[in-house]
Amino acid sequence: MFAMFDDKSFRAVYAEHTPALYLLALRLTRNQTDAADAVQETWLRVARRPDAFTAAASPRAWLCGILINCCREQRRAIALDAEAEDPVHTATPATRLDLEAAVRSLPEGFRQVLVLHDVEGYKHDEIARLLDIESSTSRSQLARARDRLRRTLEGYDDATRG
Amino acid sequence: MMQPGDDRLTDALRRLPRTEPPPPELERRILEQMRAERLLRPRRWSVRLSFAAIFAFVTFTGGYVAGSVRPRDGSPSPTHLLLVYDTPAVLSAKPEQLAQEYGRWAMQLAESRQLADGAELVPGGVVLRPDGQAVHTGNVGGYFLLHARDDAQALAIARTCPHLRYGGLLELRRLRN
Repeated sequence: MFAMFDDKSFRAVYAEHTPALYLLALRLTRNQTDAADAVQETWLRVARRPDAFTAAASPRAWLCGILINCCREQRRAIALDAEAEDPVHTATPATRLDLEAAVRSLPEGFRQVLVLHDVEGYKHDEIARLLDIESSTSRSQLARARDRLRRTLEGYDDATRG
Repeated sequence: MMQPGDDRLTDALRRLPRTEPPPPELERRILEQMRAERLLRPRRWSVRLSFAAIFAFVTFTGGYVAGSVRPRDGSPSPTHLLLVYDTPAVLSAKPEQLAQEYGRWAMQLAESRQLADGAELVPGGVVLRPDGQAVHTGNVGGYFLLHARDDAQALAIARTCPHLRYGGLLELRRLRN
């Protein structure tokens, strides 16, 4: 009648959703400790409103929305963004690692939109709701994020050729 | 490597992994915090077993011995409500031992026609605030309806309930008949 997790049901939903939440948190926070904290806070908020979680049309989207809020509230990204203005160009040849590193080097606003749209597959109007921004802002942020990402990856290429 | 303007960039982004195993200790950490905040429905198997024993006992043994423990036409109305509150102590008691004690207790009450009814409550109830917000609560484990001459006798019956010896809490209320 009234939703409330017990040990078993929580472990089941945790196992189903947490690997995806954790990687999203890693990409947003760029820090394992912050990512784990954000995931923990996400699940605690869900447990405080289990009825809303079970009623959600898309539990994954519901979880991602809460996770994004948790990541934003951590505020630590603000300090890290200063580093992101001058991304570290490594000569690591592995393409995927380059791409991951390049994504993580993006400033927070670019990174959130790019990860949600190009990696997670959300549409602009969904991102607008998740991030509390306009759809047009999501589109422009994405275009700028991709442009910046390409320039960053060019830097990797130069470093590996150099 | 990807070049500026290369559409392969978006393809590559789409192919990035979507999951990564979280730190192994994270699940335990979250569960501990949920338990501390009482966000997790407690393990009810010990109490459920106890209640099952009671009501099976009351229905069959009590019904056989005392006629019927459930109210029916002509039987006196119950006089008192005994609410059973779960605590961590009672939830961690050995279920078999608790069930045996509850069984003996229920049989004695049924034989003396002091037990009218009772039920276990499904975990996970809510308290509604005046603003309509529902706040989760969950530590009322069940209830008994008693037949007693007066408050003193009802209190004496309640004091014999095994729940107290296992660290549980009881609330006794007289019904307005």
